[in-house]
Amino acid sequence: MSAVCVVCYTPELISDVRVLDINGTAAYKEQRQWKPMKRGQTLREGTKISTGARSSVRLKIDNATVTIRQLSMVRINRNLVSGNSTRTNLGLRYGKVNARIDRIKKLRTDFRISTPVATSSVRGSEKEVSSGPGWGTKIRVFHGEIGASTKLGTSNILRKGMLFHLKPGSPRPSPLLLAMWRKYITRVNPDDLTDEEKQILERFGDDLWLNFEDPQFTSNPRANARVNLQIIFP
Amino acid sequence: MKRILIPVVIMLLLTPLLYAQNMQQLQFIHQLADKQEATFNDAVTFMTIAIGLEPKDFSTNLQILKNRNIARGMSYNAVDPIRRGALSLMIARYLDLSDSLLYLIFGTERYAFRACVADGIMSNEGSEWDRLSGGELIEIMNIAIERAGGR
Repeated sequence: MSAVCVVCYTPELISDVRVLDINGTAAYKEQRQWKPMKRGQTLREGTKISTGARSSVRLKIDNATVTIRQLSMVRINRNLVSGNSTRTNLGLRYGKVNARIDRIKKLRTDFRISTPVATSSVRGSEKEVSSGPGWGTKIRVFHGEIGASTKLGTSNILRKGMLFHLKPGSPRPSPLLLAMWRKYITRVNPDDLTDEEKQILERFGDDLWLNFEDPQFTSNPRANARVNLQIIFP
Repeated sequence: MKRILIPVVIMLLLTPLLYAQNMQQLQFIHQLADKQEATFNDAVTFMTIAIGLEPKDFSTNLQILKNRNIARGMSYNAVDPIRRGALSLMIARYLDLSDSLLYLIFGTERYAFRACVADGIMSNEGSEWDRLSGGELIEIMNIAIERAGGR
């Protein structure tokens, strides 16, 4: 039995992370000291990466290209390679990270980005993850399919155009299609407005909703409005 | 030959200085990230970084921001906690937000905060009186700098 186990066991090796580009200010912390980051250098598991204002860093991690945006702090939690699989876990403490993972045949990729409240896993896709104490965690998918789960166990599958937004203190994310819905919400003006009135509403209309608890003049305007709709059936 | 050598020597001499300044900026951000409550000084320092300058002491930074109209009329002390309203007003001036009528009329912290909410810079939970943690300040400034053309 033990002989079979020895035959089946494939050792996992720590893989290096290579710095492709640096724009502006970026530093890394391997043991206790922060050092300026250099183009072409390699980083190991456990390294922390930090970027300054108007700065970004692009990393190559096996079949993934990761861009760490400005004012971000990331830790390479795990980056292991065994025979035909890779396992990467980046910890995003704050800021924003974009990851593009190329699908390679016969290579099993487990690429995760963890924030203090959620984790996203991905195989062959592109996503952007942001984290902060005010807005919480946001995960956007540009193409492909990813899994997103909260620390409390709620998990979702996200596809292109979906947004996983977990607000601070919330046990579950906002509706995943909310970002798409917002694209299709538009302001409808009564027909009898002048062009100047329309311009003012277009520019300052949001004030009515944001600055008044119950805007009586907008709750029931009783006016006719013509709407042209183009409905595309799938 | 001299014409080539002099700029190269200057560059070589300046490089360690630039590295030190950049590391100083990162050190400020790392310390700020751990703060439970950010101060007006932190916001002023961050805003100085946002406009692309190397921060100095509080009064110099504040004067720079006042000259640029960003901190005009602000008389907070360095150690005062930074509130959403005061930060919003600096951001609204920095980004030249002009799509809120009430902010354009009154120009107060209250309506600057509403303008920042409308622009998605701040979350709509809370009020202009809320104090900010270091992490929240970093997050808000991140969005503001991005809007101003940052990466």
